[in-house]
Amino acid sequence: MDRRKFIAAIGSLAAGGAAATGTGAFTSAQADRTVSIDVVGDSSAYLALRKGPSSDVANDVVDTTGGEVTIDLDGTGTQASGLNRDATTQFANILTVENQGTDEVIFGVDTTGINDNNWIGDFNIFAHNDSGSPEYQGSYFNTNGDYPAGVSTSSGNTDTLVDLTAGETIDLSISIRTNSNVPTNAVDLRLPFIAVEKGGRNDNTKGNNF
Amino acid sequence: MNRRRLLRLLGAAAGGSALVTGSGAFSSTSASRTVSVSVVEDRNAYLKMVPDDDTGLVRSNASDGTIEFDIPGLNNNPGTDDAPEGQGVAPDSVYSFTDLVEITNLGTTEIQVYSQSDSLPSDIDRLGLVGPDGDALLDQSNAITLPVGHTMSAGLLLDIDDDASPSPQDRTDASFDIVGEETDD
Repeated sequence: MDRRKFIAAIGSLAAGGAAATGTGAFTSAQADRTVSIDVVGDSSAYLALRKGPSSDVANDVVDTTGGEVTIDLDGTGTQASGLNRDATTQFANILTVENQGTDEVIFGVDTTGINDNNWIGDFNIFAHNDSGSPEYQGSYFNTNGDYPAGVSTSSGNTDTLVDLTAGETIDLSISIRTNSNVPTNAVDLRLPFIAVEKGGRNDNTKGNNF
Repeated sequence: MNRRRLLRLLGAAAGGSALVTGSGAFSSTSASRTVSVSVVEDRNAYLKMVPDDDTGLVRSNASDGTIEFDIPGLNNNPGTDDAPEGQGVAPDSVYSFTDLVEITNLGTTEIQVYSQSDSLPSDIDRLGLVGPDGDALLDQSNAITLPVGHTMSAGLLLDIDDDASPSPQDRTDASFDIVGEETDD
């Protein structure tokens, strides 16, 4: 048998084996597969969160210790020790969000958990894009909630999500209105930042699967 | 002989046969029988798994053909097209990557596809498969039914612990089981 013929024979055997595989019965298959993960800080992640361009305010209220963004409204870094009661306090451009993935995403912030606190009258996040994309133009503060750049607001405001192309950034401002029944101690609140692929299967714009 | 009787006789014969077997004396016996096993790459196995992704988040291991996931994938190869700018996932975050792997049932019975992870590194709270819609398939009760010959698109769910430390130089290695199990009738 010459070499060429031998190879051809192996080829046909392998094909036969594969065909047999297709008819095989199995009750269960369990395959252990590995995942290698780089855990990085918020600033380097696919959905990057950074201290915003409003350096004075951002420096006072945004803490990036340990690579994780935390918003401290307890007066740290100032002479104050917190928010006024029965008041609306605004923090402009304190966060920057960047889509560091490869696809356009729909971005939003889920404020429902925060707005569930009865001492919070209203909590809003507003988006502003320096590049002047039409949907973000104009004033980035709008406590009336009728400006379309607000993200996932409550109290009758229209929830609006923001499209972010790969590499695009937006700056976020927050506004918090307290009632009179504010707690006396500092409270930790969770603020989920959510991005789903635009046009992807999660793009239902009515919720998310997380 | 009518049919009923024939059946009864057959039954008796079978019973007798079993009795004989039971009375045979032997101390030990060893009979070597051949089991022919083909271990193949994931792409040719009963539970066929083929990477379907151009960002490098999943690939076939060059030496053994198993699929393996890598976050952040192509970011490890600067200058590559489609490489994400992001360098990984942050602590206290949940990522769902859809459409990474095509899973096909090449068996002969309908199966349930899900994943399970018994021991995870402390940095990772949840790890496993997601279905085509990004829904977590982290246990049998959330499995996706895959009929014979059908293919589904699966992805990866990553839930990073609140207390995980960002360490861009170090990789966190973990693994989970991808399960295809015959549907209970």
